[in-house]
Amino acid sequence: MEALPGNLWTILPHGRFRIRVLLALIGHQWFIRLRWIFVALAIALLWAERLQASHVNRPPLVWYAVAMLAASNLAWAVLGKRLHVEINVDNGDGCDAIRSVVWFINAQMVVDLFLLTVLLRCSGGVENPMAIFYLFNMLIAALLLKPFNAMLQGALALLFFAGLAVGECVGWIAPHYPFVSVVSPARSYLDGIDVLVSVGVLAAGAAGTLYFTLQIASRLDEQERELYHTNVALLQSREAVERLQEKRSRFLRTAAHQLKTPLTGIEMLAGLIRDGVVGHDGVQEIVGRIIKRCREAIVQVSELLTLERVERGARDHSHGAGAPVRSVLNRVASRFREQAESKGLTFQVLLLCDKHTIAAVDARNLEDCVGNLLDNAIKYTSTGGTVSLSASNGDNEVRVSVKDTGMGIAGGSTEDLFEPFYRGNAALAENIAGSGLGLTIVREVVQQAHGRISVRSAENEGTEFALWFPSASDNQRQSTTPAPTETASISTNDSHALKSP
Amino acid sequence: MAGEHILVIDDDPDVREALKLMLTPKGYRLTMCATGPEGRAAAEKQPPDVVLLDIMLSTVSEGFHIAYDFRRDDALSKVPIIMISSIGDTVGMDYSKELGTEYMPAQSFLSKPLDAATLLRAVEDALASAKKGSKKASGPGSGSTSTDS
Repeated sequence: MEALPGNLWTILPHGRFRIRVLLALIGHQWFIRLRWIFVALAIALLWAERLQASHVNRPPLVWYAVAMLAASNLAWAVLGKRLHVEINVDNGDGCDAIRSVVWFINAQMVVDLFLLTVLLRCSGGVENPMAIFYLFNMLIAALLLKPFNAMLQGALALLFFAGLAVGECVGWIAPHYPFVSVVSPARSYLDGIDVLVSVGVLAAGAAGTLYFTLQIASRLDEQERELYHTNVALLQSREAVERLQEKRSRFLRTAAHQLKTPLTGIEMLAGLIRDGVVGHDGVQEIVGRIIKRCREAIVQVSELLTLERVERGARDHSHGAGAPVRSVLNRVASRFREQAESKGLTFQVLLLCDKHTIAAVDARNLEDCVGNLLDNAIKYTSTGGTVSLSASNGDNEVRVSVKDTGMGIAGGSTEDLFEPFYRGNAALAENIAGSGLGLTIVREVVQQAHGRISVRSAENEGTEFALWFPSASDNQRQSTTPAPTETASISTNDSHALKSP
Repeated sequence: MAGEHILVIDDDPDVREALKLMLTPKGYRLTMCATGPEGRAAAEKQPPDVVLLDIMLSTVSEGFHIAYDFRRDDALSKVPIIMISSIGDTVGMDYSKELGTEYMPAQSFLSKPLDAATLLRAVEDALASAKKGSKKASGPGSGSTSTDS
């Protein structure tokens, strides 16, 4: 669907559907054809009258009026075609073209009203029931143009008609030409009351036509606008769903490839043994590599399942009861302490938040999130380095940070870090194992909890990931019972714990 | 045959190890690289006779970009490239049909996992083709071969 220009409503009160109707009417020359029919009928009637009542003396003005109607119609036809071409080729926002159309229709109507008045002047004035055609013009204006335009057309029609009627009545416009010449001419145009009634009836008809048509048009406009906005929302939703499907499809392809990678390695390594490429002495080493690849595959599957669980939590809105921060972080720290220390790293834990601090995030998700960051920090930090885990309270939020003195991120580029299966060149060069999903899980958990992430890194100096989670509401606090292991898990490097009695 | 220099660019340490075990006994000299930048630097330092190039490195298409760089480099433009990857099945592409084109400027394409016989045949073909004439070896559609293990 084409976008509707935002400021189009200021030109026309209604939407795309009726604009299209207006353009189609111009495109198909509907007004032009209608006018040609009117011209043909007028000529036929005048000729018929001349044949039936040769004594009738219509003024030449009636023929001039018909000729002017035909000439103006020809001009409208040419202008209409040109305007239609302009609209078709208009690459702007469409407003200029629509504005031209509105002027075009208004101009036609004013000329039509004037010529209709001239024809009435030559064929009975107030006695001529063709005055009803004034209403026809107003109906079209109310349906297709702005209410202001329609009311202006109505006022102009009344002015023309009243001017003619009063002018004939008081003798300013003379002589009077009867409507039907073959019968005795009526003299009602001289009767002030009759004239007043005729003008009043036309005015009432015009007011009624404008009021009801504009009311109906206004309701239709509201409905059309609602439909338009609903349609836009639906289209945006469909595009979002398509983008999501494409993203999922890409993710699945990459995930399948990543899962295939260790299996490919395993098959190649097994093939070396099968084909006798490695001798008996080398078999043990190859088998060791095969086992390592099997473990990598298992880790990848586990992380995929973790990511799926976290995403499922977001879909189900199951954020859990909130995470007791100290308890969860102490638990994660105890899991990674041995791994860090066995690599010769200094492992520091600095928990400045109190034991009642609850973060509005699922406890298991927080554990996975911090676990992934610690795992990375340990993997990317060389022996002798330091890995720190810290937490503190902020304004209605909890800050958790994992900092290392490792290799850092080359070029400081953190753009792709959180993309699924992204592995930095440094990790590949150093043969550091990883699924490429750890940071994706971190991002998913933080986004799900409406938190924030910040990454600071300098090559060969280290990296710090800081996460902010909203503090839990009172309801979550009441439903969360701190784990009993919390007080038992005291780290020797936990400065907060050292300060506590 | 022996002594030719083969540059291996693959991020998988086990694949590199397997390639080493397959090729070293035949007397080839190997340079092993885990990343694109490492591979480029190694090629500039000592132009290889054949390049064994993985497609999916730090990004899903880094291997292609390395191949394009080699083709643009006067010193490396005639070096036959053998692409090795398992990505073809994943993305549903038959890369062997694209061989020798601008999109796939490689001598041949081998699907992982591959065995020693397939690899050795592809390497020998690439070296023979390079010896026949550098013009034929790198031009589009110039007798490229595809070997799926």
